Amino acid sequence: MQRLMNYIWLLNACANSLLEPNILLKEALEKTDNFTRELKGLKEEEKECLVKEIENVISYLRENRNYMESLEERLKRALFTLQEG
Amino acid sequence: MPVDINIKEYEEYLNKMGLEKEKYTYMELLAVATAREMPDEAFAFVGTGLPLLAAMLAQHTHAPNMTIILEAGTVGPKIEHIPVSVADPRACYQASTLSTLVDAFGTLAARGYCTLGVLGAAECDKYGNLNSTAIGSYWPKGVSETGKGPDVRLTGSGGANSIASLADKIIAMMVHEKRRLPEKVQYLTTPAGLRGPKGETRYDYGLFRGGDLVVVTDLCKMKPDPETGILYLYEIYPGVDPEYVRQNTGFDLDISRCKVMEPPTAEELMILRMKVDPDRIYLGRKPKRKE
Amino acid sequence: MANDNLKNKVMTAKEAVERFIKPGTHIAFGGFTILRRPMTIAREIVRQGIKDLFVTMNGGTLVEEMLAGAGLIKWLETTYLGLEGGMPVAYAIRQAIESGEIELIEDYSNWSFAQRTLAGRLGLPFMPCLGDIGSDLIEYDTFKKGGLRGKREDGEFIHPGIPPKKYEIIDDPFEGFGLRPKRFKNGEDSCVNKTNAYRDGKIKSTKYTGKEGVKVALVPPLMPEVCVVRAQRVALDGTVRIEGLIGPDLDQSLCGRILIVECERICPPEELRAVPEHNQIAAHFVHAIVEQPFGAYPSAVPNYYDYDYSWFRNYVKEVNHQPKEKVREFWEKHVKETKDDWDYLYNKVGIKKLFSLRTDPKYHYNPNLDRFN
Repeated sequence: MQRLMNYIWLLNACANSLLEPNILLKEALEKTDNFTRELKGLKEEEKECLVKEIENVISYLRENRNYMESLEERLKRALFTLQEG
Repeated sequence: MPVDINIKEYEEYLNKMGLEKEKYTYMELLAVATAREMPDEAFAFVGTGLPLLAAMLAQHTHAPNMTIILEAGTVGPKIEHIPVSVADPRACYQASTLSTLVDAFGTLAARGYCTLGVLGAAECDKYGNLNSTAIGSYWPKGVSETGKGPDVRLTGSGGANSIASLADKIIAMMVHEKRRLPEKVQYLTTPAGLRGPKGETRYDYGLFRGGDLVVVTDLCKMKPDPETGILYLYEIYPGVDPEYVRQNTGFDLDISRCKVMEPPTAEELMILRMKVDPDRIYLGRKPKRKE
Repeated sequence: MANDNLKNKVMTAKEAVERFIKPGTHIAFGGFTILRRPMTIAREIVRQGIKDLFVTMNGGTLVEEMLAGAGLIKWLETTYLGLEGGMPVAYAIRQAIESGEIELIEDYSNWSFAQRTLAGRLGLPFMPCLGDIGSDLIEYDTFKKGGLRGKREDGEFIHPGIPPKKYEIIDDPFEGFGLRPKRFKNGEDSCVNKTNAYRDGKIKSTKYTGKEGVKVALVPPLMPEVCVVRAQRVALDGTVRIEGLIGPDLDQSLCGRILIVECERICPPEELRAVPEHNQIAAHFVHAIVEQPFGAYPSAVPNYYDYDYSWFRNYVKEVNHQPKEKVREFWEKHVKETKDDWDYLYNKVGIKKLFSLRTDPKYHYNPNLDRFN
């Protein structure tokens, strides 16, 4: 059990670290429709900047989501091992 | 010193930049000369530019256990892109801690983690006192008798005085010109060496650390005599005439004991060029000396 | 309603400057060289032409260079006058000091100055410093020579921002007990410094106090009227979260009377209060919040945008070695022709330039930025 604690605390750090992203993501979600509605009458270069910003954020979200999905998968196997054996 | 540089890539780089394996430029010489003065396991307070390059070169060669500290509050960064200031976010990358100036000088330096400081200086006198404050006069117009401010106002101490008060060893870097190496500095910003003769030494004034100094110039290195504290010519760069050095020194410089420094090795140059400053932001600069 | 109450700290730069910064104000600007400089407020000061400022800085000089270039600084407390980016000594400041436009300048070192801000922040009468002794920083006291140190007939200090002494040197009442390295019971000190001249019996210093003892310089607190700092996020209630290197900003923000915080984004308090230990300045310390995205330009804000090195290179080209009128002209054109900071950022700098400085989350700066061409 003692040997396993380092990893358990690592998972704990992951879980704790999700607090701030969750707060920010929730807030961003709430405000996105409003933001989209205000995207009118922008100049070309303004649009370019915003497109790049949003594409970047999407790619960071995706990277994070990939990690999350993979981890969930692997953890399910650990669960299976625990519940079977 | 295992180093993971691809030889072919290096040769292409040399071609592109118009450099040769063994031939060194002015800035490369200075960087190597300074790096060699930095001991392994040192906790080095460095500023950006040449001091930082030298520290990074030292880390890659004989001093892998050196910790770099930047006075704005950064401890042990792993720098990937050359910063232009100690507060540049590039200088914070992968640091152990980032905090405040109070921390840098207190928690680190005073607390006993400042073995080496690398400073630039405008003027240095024979006792290793540096002036980076003013030349000609100090008093600003509001209190001066001349009705004007100082002749030439320089940066001021910055962290120099603080570091020199707390480090075991100081490397002071400067251009070797007669007017910059006077008998006595006009304003004593930073006591980097012994400070003065008996009765006027740094210890007489109560400074509890330091005294070990090497002045690295674009011609040579000078160190204080262990007895008198007066700077003498310690090491000269290959191809430089000691007599020329003496003529370009404002105080009477003892040149009788100098050795010739080993030129930068091919390996040092390769690491400097490929790992430390590949864009040659600082390495590409021209000498300040007017020939 | 609770939120209305919160909103009363939020104001425009124009309002903040009008309310809190008058001619002659003793003012400290946060940040350090090219990091998180409060340029929005500084530019507004130039726009409003507030003169005779008593400026104090622990990490010059972008803001101070601008104020000096615009002819607005009368007195300066400083440690360092360099301008990263091609000017070893900031030109407009140097010109202003040499010509006498800046009438008084008091020099400290980074450490003694940091200790001053610490004393101010901690509400303590002074803080000790083991540096500056043996140097001319102790010998040259500009404010004293100018008759500004001490008390008036009515018992008040001559100037509320100028302490009656620059330093006081004492003999350590604890006889050097705390100096490192020291010998512990079970062995030598674990720190890496090897020199402690009091231990080796090298020192028998009688300077300054006339008695033998361990010399310690005491420095008085820094207590400006107004402190200005730029943070990434500030909550509506004033809670401040600075990201990246703090530099002088914890101490130098809390030592004065009024604190104005400029920020990239005002956020809901819950966002920052979820992890309170990551916040540096509590809400009640903040008197004014000014939201201005990109407002630190041309300095850097970690996690938001990098510094614009080309601005600095261009500044050197336009201003270095120029006569005073040209320097003044540069700064007037730079700022006074704009009506507020967004006008400056959008029209003079440009959206494309600003967004080109955006940072990478892993590096906290822009690793692909070509700074030198």
